Amino acid sequence: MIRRTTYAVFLVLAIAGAAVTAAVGDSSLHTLAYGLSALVGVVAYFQANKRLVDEAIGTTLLSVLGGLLLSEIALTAVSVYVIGMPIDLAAWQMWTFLLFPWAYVLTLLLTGYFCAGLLDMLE
Amino acid sequence: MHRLNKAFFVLTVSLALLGGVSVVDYSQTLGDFQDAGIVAEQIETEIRSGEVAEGEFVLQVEIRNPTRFTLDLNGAYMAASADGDRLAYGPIVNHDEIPETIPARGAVNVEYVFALSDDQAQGLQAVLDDGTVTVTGQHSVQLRDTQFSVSFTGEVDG
Repeated sequence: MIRRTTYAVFLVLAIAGAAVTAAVGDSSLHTLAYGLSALVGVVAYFQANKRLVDEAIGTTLLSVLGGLLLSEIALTAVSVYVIGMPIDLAAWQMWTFLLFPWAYVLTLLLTGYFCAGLLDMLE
Repeated sequence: MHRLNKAFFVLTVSLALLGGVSVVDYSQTLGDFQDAGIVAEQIETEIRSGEVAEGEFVLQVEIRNPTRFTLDLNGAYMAASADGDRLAYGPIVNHDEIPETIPARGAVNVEYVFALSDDQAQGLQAVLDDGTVTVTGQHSVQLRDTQFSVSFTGEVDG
């Protein structure tokens, strides 16, 4: 069994990585990020199902939210540091920048999760 | 360790690395063509003073650049007006004397000199003697291979 915090830290970094790649990454990497997000969803389902993680559902939900927040913070920090943009403007711009990537990443994650559940149930 | 957990670590680490690479790549491509406008918006110009001297309009301006990029300063254009009347306009004539670059994360003081006709000089001086002149203009700036202009505006009083 993985400890809850370890699981959360890795998942937060993964979601942030996926969102950031989908938002500003090279176009060829978008598909990879979405594909890996779906696979994370599949794995997360089976981990929860086989009780490999403590309080899997709640931890997953919070980690996903944490990941989205981390992606916003990371891109805002880049804008502020590199181009000296005022922080409020940078935060707002990155928020609009990230909305669709978030939607895509979450959609694929949930699709992976539910498809895994569905297949598991049918077996 | 259960193979599902192994898969989880491999997947999450890959995604985190992918994100890291994307962020670094993004921060390095900022300042290329498509982002030059964002850089331009961060440049601030303050007109310190302006005076008419020997048929020339001499403006002292401070240009502040909070970005991480050093910009080339290629020239400037201005239009001076008062109460909606355009009094003088034109490009600078002292190209060789202005600094070549606006340093990254720094400020630079620049003296812009504009040539005036006799009428323009008299008109401008007359307004400056008892009022203010509004100056709007553009710096011609270059970031790597991208040329763009940065607008500025300010008031000059005599």
